[in-house]
Amino acid sequence: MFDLDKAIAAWRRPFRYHRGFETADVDELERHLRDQVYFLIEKGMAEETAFQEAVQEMGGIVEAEGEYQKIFWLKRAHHGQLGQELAMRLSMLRNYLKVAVRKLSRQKGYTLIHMFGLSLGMAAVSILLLFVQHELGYDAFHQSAERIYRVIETTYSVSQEEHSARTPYPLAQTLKQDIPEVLEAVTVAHGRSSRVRVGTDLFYERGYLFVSPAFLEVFDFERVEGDTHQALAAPASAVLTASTAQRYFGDISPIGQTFEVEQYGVFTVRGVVADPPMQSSLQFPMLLTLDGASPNAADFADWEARPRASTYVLMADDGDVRALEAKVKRMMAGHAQSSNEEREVSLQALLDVHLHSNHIRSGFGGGGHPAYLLIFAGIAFFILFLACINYMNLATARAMTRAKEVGMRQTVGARRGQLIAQFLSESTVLVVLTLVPAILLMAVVLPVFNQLTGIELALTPDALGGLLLYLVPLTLGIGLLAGSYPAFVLARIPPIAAFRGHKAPARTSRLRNMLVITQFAMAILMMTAMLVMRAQMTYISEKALGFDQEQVVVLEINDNNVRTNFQTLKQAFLTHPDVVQVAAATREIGGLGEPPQIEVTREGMEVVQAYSMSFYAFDEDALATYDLTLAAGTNFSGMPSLDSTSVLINASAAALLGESPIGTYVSVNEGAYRARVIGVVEDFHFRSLREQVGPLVMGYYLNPARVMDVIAVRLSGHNTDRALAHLKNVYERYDHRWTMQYQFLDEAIGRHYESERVFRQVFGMASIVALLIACLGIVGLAAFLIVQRTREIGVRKVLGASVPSVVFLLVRDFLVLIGGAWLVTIPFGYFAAEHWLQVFVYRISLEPWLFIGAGAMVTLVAIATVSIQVIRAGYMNPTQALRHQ
Amino acid sequence: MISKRLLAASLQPLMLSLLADGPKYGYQIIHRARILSDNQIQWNNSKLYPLLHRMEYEGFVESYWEPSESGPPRKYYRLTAAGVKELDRVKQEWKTVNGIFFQLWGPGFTLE
Repeated sequence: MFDLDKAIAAWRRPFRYHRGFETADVDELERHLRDQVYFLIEKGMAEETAFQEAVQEMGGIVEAEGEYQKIFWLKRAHHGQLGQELAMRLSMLRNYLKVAVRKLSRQKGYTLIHMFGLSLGMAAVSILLLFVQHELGYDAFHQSAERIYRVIETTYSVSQEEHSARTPYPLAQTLKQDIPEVLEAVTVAHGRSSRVRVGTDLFYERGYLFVSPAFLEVFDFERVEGDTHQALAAPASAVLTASTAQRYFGDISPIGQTFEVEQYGVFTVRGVVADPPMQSSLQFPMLLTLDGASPNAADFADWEARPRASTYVLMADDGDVRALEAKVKRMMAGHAQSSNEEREVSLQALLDVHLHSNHIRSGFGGGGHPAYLLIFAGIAFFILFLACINYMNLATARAMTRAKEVGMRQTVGARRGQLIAQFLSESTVLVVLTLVPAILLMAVVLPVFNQLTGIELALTPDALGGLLLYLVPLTLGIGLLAGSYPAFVLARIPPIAAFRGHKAPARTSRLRNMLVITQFAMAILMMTAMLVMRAQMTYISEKALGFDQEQVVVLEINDNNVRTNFQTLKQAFLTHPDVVQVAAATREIGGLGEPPQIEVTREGMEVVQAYSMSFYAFDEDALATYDLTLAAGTNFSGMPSLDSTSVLINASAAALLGESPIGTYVSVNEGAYRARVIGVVEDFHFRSLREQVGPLVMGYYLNPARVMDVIAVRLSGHNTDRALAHLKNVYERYDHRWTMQYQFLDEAIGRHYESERVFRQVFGMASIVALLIACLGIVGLAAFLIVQRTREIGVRKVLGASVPSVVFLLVRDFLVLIGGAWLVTIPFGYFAAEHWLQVFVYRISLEPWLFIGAGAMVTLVAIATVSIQVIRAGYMNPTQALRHQ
Repeated sequence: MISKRLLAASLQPLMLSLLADGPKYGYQIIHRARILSDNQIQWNNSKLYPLLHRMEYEGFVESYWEPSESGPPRKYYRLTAAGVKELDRVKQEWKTVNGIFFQLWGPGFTLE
């Protein structure tokens, strides 16, 4: 039987759940409904049908609600309840926050831990990203940076492929003349380390540049004084950097002043530019006009002369670099020197120089390792990911414990939306709070980072703004994401079920386990990576270079007088008891300078084959001074008449030249020089460990091909200062113009591998951070798990179990998780490590202990943490534990 | 079908006018309006009641409950003094607009 009143009551009910309708409103609508029903009944309709029609005609609640909502505030205002309403809203919000804070402070312990973990993660990520940004931005400060290229010449010879940024002097001008797309082309040459005389003061400069007049047109170095655009127009002009100007001339204006550069002559200062920023691949204390590089004007037009300078071109706006490159190639081919080596010419973008020039020699800039950058960026996200997982674990864990609270709230009338809002706001508040310590951490750590890496990363307002731009959404995102689990899942649990101690479905605890395993896996991976890298770096730095780099001082020869009187000088040096050996050489060995390349042909062979080999010239004491080992044959005799036509070769060269090379003759540079091989020296790393040892020919220093440039002195190691003083004394008797310039070979070589060392340190720091975060995660997780099982622990104790046995039980569960993580990481770790190590020519082999060690460390930390927590719970009074819910 | 916007604009004047000749309760008003428009216009209750409420908050009408024999009490609305004034104002508005159209559309066009 259809009951109208009941039907209407049923129709009314849903209105309760919609906020916009007051009781009076619903009464009004009900009245309307009844009137309509009666009207229809009078028209003859049956009661039930009338009712249904009327309901239809009434329309839906939802649209109605929209309309009622629109006048909500108006209504409040009309009833004079605006103030009330606002007050109520505010107090609700305050309530949420209060509850959030109270909840948080009650679980201060591991809330703080996780917050700290997240802050740490964010700080680490930010610093690393700042660094990556820095590296990527080299040379971008030039206005036309995208259109500047430098010319690279690649030589293919039998044994190797060499890339050089050295090009012939006339190249720049010819490029500009012949190719329309080349707006400007400049030549940049390295000035030899020289003494500079300013008035009565002497300075020592290295790294200054000889440049074409258009240099400051192409490159935008900030003008400080003088007309920098015209500054390099006149011959024998100079542009100083601000600090150089300060050093030379103090506070007076350097414009118009002159100074003398040893070997090159007098120059007039025409302008001052700001010091090149750190992110410039071109670094210099001053710029000199190109004409000053050689007194012989013909040198600059000589295509055949050994390439000496780098060439940079500025391409037109609408130019196409491929087309330009092709044109350059054609042009170079036209001027090519004849040789039996294949040469290739290419253009390298200026913006690529910093990161992609490690295989290019004799150029400016380089030193960036894109591989390292990738690794850094990877580490950054790794760490952040770890921290996020941590955080989500925390939120999830806490949510579990609050199932009952949720049930309670729902019973008392909280609507789903309110609950969700509460969880989300809690989570977000927490995350946003981590921002502040993150930034503080960054501010503190950054100077340390700068010191280690030698890079100036600054937390400028600009940089900070950029960071916040991604940090803030990131934190909000994390907060929402982490809070969403409890918010949405828990809020759906029917209140009764929650009261009954409804446990989350198995699905979620498996999810949690997955998260834990992931965290462990990552921590282990990071540790493994760190161990591998450390092993590799140590290997490289300790690897026998093949010569003894310690206690060797290398003196630069700047005065010909020294050369001519070398023998006397040498004897004088040796009079000091702490000077052990003295030798002459063309260059320092060990990968610092680069040795010149010569072509060597073995005479008397059926097939005439020329090889490109490195060349050093030594004297008879070089082997002793550097402690090189003679594998076969004899050393130089010390008698110039014999030695000037003798050479030593290294084992690699011997391998190339064929059997029993000793006693055979070789022809150098197509007959320019002819010598007899008198001995074979064991391979040593005269170049960087980043490359393989190449073939080497060592001639006597009085040979026509090269002249000696350095003196190597081996000291005993005692009384070094006095020995040095003695050397200086003697030296300056022969060199009247300049003081003795020297460096210790091991220090110099150490600097060469600076970037690896820096990288190793940064990576070490980063892994510690990652490990820390992972540990924090473990601590929090352990704490939570213990809490969950407190009852179980209590029961066990009551039943007679000892604390250690309970500890063991829980730790065992943990171990299972870690074991799982370990298994997962091993293949990944191995693969990644192999891949990375391929970059190195000399590398370690991957030993198992590296993987085991990492896993062991993490396991230890985990066990320790868990044990502490468990023990603490274990000693709790069992009755307390049972009561605890 | 009358466009929504025109409908929306005429709704309030319509309400005011319907109340001009005495207080009515919601159903009465809507019913009468339906008859007047010859069922041409679609009435959505969800818009009407809130509109009445809005008019009340704006001060043009006031409401009171009256008991009824056939069930729950009814909510009556009547014009306030301000409402009467508003009705006059609205009438003027429409007259002005009508005048313009009358001129434009010519004497042949009647508002019959």
